[in-house]
Amino acid sequence: MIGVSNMLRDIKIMLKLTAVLFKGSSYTSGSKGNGLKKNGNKWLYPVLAICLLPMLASMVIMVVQGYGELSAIGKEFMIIRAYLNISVLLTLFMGFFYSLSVLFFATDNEFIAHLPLKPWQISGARFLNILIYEYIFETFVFLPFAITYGVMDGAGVMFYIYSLIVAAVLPVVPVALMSIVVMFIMYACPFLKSRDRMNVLSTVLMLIFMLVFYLPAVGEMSSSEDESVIPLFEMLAGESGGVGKTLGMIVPTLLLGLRAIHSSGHIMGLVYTVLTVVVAAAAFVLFELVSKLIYAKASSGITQATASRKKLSAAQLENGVKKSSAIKSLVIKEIRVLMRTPVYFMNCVLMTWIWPVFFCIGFVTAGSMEDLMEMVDQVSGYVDQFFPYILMGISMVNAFIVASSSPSASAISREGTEILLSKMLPVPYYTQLKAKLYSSCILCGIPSIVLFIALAVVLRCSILQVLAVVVVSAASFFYVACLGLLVDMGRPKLVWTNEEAAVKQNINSLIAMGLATPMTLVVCGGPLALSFVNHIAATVALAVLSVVVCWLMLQIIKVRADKCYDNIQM
Amino acid sequence: MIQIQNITKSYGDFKAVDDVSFDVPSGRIVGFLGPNGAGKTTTIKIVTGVLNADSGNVLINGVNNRANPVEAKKQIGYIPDNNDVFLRLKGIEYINFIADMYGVDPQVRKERIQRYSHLFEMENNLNDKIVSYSHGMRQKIASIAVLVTDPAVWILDEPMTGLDPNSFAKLKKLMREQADMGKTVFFSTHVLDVAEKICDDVAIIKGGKLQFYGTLEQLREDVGNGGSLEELFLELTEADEN
Ligand SMILES: Nc1ncnc2c1ncn2[C@@H]1O[C@H](COP(=O)(O)OP(=O)(O)OP(=O)(O)O)[C@@H](O)[C@H]1O
Ligand SMILES: [Mg+2]
Repeated sequence: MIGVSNMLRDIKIMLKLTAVLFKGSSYTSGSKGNGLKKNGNKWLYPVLAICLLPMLASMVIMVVQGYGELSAIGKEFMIIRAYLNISVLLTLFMGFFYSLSVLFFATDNEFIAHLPLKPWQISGARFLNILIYEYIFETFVFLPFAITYGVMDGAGVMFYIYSLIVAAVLPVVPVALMSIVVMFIMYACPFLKSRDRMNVLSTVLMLIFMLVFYLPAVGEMSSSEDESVIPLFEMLAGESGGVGKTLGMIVPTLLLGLRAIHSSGHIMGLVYTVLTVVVAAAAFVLFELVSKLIYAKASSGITQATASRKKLSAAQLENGVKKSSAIKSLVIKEIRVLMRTPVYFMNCVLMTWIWPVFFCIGFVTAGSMEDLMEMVDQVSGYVDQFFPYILMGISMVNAFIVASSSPSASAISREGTEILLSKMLPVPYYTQLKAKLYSSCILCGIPSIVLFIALAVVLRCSILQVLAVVVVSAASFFYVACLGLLVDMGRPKLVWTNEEAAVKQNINSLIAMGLATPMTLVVCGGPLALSFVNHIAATVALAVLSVVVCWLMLQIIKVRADKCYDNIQM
Repeated sequence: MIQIQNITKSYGDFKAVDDVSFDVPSGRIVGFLGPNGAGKTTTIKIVTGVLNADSGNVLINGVNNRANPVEAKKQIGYIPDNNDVFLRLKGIEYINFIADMYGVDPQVRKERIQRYSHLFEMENNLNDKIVSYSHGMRQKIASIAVLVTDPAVWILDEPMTGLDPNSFAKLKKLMREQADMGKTVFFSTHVLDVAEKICDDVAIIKGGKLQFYGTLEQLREDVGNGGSLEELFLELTEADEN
C-alpha cells in the first residue's frame, strides 16, 4: 500500500517537473523581459497560424482527392496507413534532435541536478517533454487527416476515439527508440559532449536530410505526368514494401495502431488499442531502464565549448597583435561571433548560403546539357527586352532573402547583456552600427550577388548590364539590411537566456520581413513607371535610386544611432 | 581623476543613487564600500557612461561623459562585476579587439600582452575561446585587456570575486603600480580587510546616499572609534537603520 502511494507521489512530482521544464523552455520563459517578449507572443501565433493554413488546406485537399480515387478501388484505408507512416517517420527524425537537445543540451540541466529528485523522475520528465513537442507537431500532421478521412468515410464515434488514442500513443515508441540511440551515442562518444560541436553536427545532418528529401522531390515533380495521387499514397503507405514495411518492424505500435483504427467497428479494435498502449508503456519502461544504466554517465561533462590549453606560438602571437582600424576590427568581430555561434550561423547565415546552392542544383538537374544550353539561348534572347524587370526581380529576391534570414534584424538583440561592453567601447555608436551592416552584407550578401553575376555572365549580358546587376543587387541587399537594423534599433530584445531567443523568438525579424517587400516595391515603383517609356532610363533610374536609398537609410541610422544606444539602460 | 557631481538615479519610484557627489583624485586607490543594493554598481555604471543618471554630471579628467562620451571612454578601463566579455572570441582576439578600439600601438600591444598574460598565468589560454574559460579566467582576460590599453582611469566592480588569492595579490600590486604612476584607481568591494589594506581613501554608500568620503584615519576620527574597518563600517551602515 505504502509502496503504491509513494510511487504515485513520485509520479506526480515527475509530472510537475515536466510542466516546469516545458514552461521554462517555451517562448514565455524569463520573467525579467522588457515587455517585448509579450508583444512577440501576441504576434507570433497568429502569424504562424496564417503561415500554416495553406499547408493544412493542401493536406486536406489531398486527402479528399485521394479518398475519391482510392475508395473507387476499395483501398481508401491506405490513406490512414500513409499518414501514420509519415508521422512515425517524422517523429523518429525529430525525436533524434529533440532527444539530443532536451536530454543533453538543455540549459536547465545544471539547475535540475541540484533538486532532490530521483534520476528516473528527471529522465521521465524529459521524456514527457520530448513527447509534448512531438504532440504539438503531430496535431498538425496527423489529426487533420484523420478528421478529414473520418468525415469522408462517415466513420462512427469509435473511429475518432481510437484515432485519438493511437495518435497519443504513437510517438512513444519512436521517442523511446531515439532517446536510447542518442544516449548510447553520447555514452560512447565523449568528444560529442560539447554544445557547439553537437550543434554543428546536427545542422550538417539536417542539411543532408533536407537534400535527401529535396533531390527526389525535384525529380518527382519534373517527371510526373500522371495526375492520379494513387501512386503517391501507395508509396507512402509502403504497399510495395520498402520504408513502410521497415517502419512497421521498428515501431510495432504502428501496425497495432493501424489495426485498432481499422477495426474500430468491432471488439478487435479494443483489443488492438489496449495492445498498442501496453507496447508503448513497455517502451517507456525500457527507456527508463536504459537511462538508469547510462544516462548519468552519458550526460556528465557536457560543456559549451572545448579548450585546447595550448600556448600561442610566436607566429600566432605576431599575427594576433596586428593592428586594424576600429571599423575593420568591429566587422571581423561581428563575423566571428556570427560564424562561431551555431545558433546564429544556422538562423542568420546558412539560408543565404544554401539557396544559391539549391538553385544551382535545381538548375543542373532540370535536364540534360543540351536542354540547358537551349534554355540559356532562349532566355538570353529575352534579357535585353526585359532587363529593367529582371533588375526589379533581383531586388525583390534580395528583399526576401535578407529579410527572411538577415543578421541585421537581430544585430543589436544578439548582443544581449554584452551590449554593456559595446557601450563602453571608445568608438562612436554609428561606427559600431556600420560594422554590423557591413558584416551582415559581407556574410550574407556575397553568395546571392555572386549568383546573380554568374547568371548575368551565363546569359551573355553586356558589361554595362553586368555592372547594373552588381549595383542593383548590392544596393538592394544593403538597404533592406539597413531596414532590418533600424527595426532592431527601435526595439532590441536584449534580455534573453539562450541564443535561440535572440534570433528565432525575436519579433523584429518578422517585422523586418513584413516591411522589406513593400519598401522594395516603393523603390522599384518609379523605375517601373519609367520603363514603359524607356528601358535604359528605367535601368539607370533604378540603379541610381537604389544607391540613393542606401545613402538615405545610412543617414537615418546615423541620426538615430546615439539615441538607440542611449535608450538601452540595463 | 573622476568628478562625480550630484548624481541621482531612480528605478521607478526607488532612488538607487541619491544626490551623490565626490571626487576620486588621481594617484590614489579609492575603495567604494557599501552593503548589497547600496548603489555601488549603479554609481559605477553611471561613471563609465553605460547608464544615464537622471541628473548630475560626471567628469573624467575634466571631460563630461555625457557631452563627450567617446573622449571620456578613451580614458576609462572598466572591469564589470559580471565579467561580460565577448564569449565567442578567443582570448587573444578579445585583447586585440579591445586594443584596436583604443588604438594601441602594435609593438607596445605585444609587449603588454606578453607581460600581463604571463603575470596572470593565462598564456596557455589565449588561444581558446572565452566560453571555455572559468569565472576567474574571464575576469583575468578582462583585466589583461584593460591593462593593455593602459587607461588613465581604472574602474573595477567587485574585482575580488572569482580571483584566487595569488591572482588577486597580483591585481592589488598592479592597482598600486597604476596609482603610483599617477593614474586613478576606483573599485567597489565587500571585502573590508582588503579595502583596509590597499585603499588610500574610502567612499561609503548606503541606500543610495553617500555616508562618508575620506581617508581611513578620518573615518576613525569621524565615527570616534579606533577599531577595525569592519566595526566602523558596521557602525556607519547600521547607524541610521532605526
Ligand atoms: N535594472 C534595475 N531595475 C530596477 N532596480 C534596480 C536595477 N538595477 C539595480 N536596481 C536597484 O538599485 C539598487 C542598487 O543596486 P546596485 O546594483 O547599484 O547595488 P550594489 O551596491 O552594487 O550591490 P551589490 O553589493 O549587491 O553589488 C538595488 O536596490 C537594486 O535593487
Ligand atoms: Mg554591485
